[in-house]
Amino acid sequence: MAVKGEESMPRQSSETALKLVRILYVEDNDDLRASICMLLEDAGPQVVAARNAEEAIRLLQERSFDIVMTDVSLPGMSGTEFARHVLETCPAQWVVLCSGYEFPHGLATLGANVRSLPKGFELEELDALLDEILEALPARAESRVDEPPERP
Amino acid sequence: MRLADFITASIEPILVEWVAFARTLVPTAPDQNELTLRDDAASILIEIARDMRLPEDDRERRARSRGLLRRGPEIEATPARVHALNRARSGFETNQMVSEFRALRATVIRLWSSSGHHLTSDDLDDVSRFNEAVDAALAESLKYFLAEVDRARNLFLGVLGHDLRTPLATIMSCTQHQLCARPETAHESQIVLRSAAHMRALVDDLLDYTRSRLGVGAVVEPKPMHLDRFARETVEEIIAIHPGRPIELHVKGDAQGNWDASRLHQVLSNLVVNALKYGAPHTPIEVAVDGTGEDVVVLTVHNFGAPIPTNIMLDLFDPLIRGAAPDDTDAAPDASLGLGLYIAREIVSAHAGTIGVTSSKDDGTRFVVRLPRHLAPARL
Repeated sequence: MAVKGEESMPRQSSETALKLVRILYVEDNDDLRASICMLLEDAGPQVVAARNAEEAIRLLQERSFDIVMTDVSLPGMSGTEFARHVLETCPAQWVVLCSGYEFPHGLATLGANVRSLPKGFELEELDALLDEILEALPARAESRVDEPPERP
Repeated sequence: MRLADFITASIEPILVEWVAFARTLVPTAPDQNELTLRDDAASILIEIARDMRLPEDDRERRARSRGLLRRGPEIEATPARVHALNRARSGFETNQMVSEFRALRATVIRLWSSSGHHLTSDDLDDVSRFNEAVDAALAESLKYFLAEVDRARNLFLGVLGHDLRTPLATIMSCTQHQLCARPETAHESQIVLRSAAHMRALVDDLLDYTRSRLGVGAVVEPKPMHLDRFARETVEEIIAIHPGRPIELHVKGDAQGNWDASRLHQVLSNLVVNALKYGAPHTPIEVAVDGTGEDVVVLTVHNFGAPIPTNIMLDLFDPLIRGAAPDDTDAAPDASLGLGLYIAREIVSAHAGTIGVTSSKDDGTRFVVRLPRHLAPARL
């Protein structure tokens, strides 16, 4: 249970490239949503947050996101249903399922680019996942950086 | 009239008194349960009367079999089982269940005596058989009742454990952010993160425990890994939290195999932290990885110090058994729910391995975990 960051080093992993990454994060708990958004932004990405799957679907209609990250248990449509819905239109979409349970099974059956992150993850786990996805994403166009990020 | 016949003939009056008594036990039980209570009770009485009429051998066999708790979809809905489930779900407690059967006994005997029955030479035999039948019904009811209460409690604990993860995740992520955004708060942030990690370990233990109590067993996803590297990382982690305590790692042979790293992390951490807690101060803890065997890799954790008392040894892997802390003035907070070894065993079993312990004054305490290198597909 050693805590990384004891040396107070800034988080390194490909920061410039990560700044171009857009994440849609869905979580119904207000405090958790706020905290995770801050954490994701610390790593570099631009984050848009939604309170539930229905709101997230509306946001997805307006623009695309590199990563869709969602809590599994949501009011209304569940996170897994939402993930399936997203993957139907875009099977290559990167999706991260956040779960209070361990190892949601059958991730591969949902899509090739589906991963899970346990609730209460360590920073290294998040960084490693972002690095993995970053490497797999197609090269970014520079003009993306100029788009103003919006918040609900 | 023989007692068995009296019971069958007097079901109504017996029921009236029995149900009235049951309602005094749990006055707040909703009225719509009355019909269920009566149906259960009637079935139990009929069953008791039937028992009493059986020849002696059959009776004994039945009594024995009803004391056993059967599982699985083919369980018949015996009157005692149905009764037990209804009582558990109506909020009865164990002593109330027992009181009910005591009242049944008293009611039947009283009504029989005041029915104008004349003493016969069969009476002693009848009353004896009646008591045996009631005892058998009580034993069966109690077993199902307790199993149901246990199941409900484990479900509750499971839900609680799961729900605790969200606020815990909030504390951790917010503090991780703070550590990054305001490095000047590093000292306090690390204290919060360590405590949160500790809580998360407790919640993990709680969930593992309830899952295994509900019969689901430990979930493992084996992947290729090197046990020696894994052991080194885990030991380094623990040294970082417990500086000043010597922990040695000895490796020999080929330590490759298919295991679930995060689950084994739980096992090794539990064992090493135990060794630190109960080991003699200023003596080293030794972790050894032996990969010289062809099919099995052996992981050992050893500490010197007072041996585990023999009376605890038998129950060591049972949940909620904790040894007395070696030093009463030890300021370290109690780090476990007493589930560590229980869960360690569940995880090792899920890998088709074994875990054992030896402990003596001269040799100290040694936990030995034998892990087959390869496993059949993961249990879900």
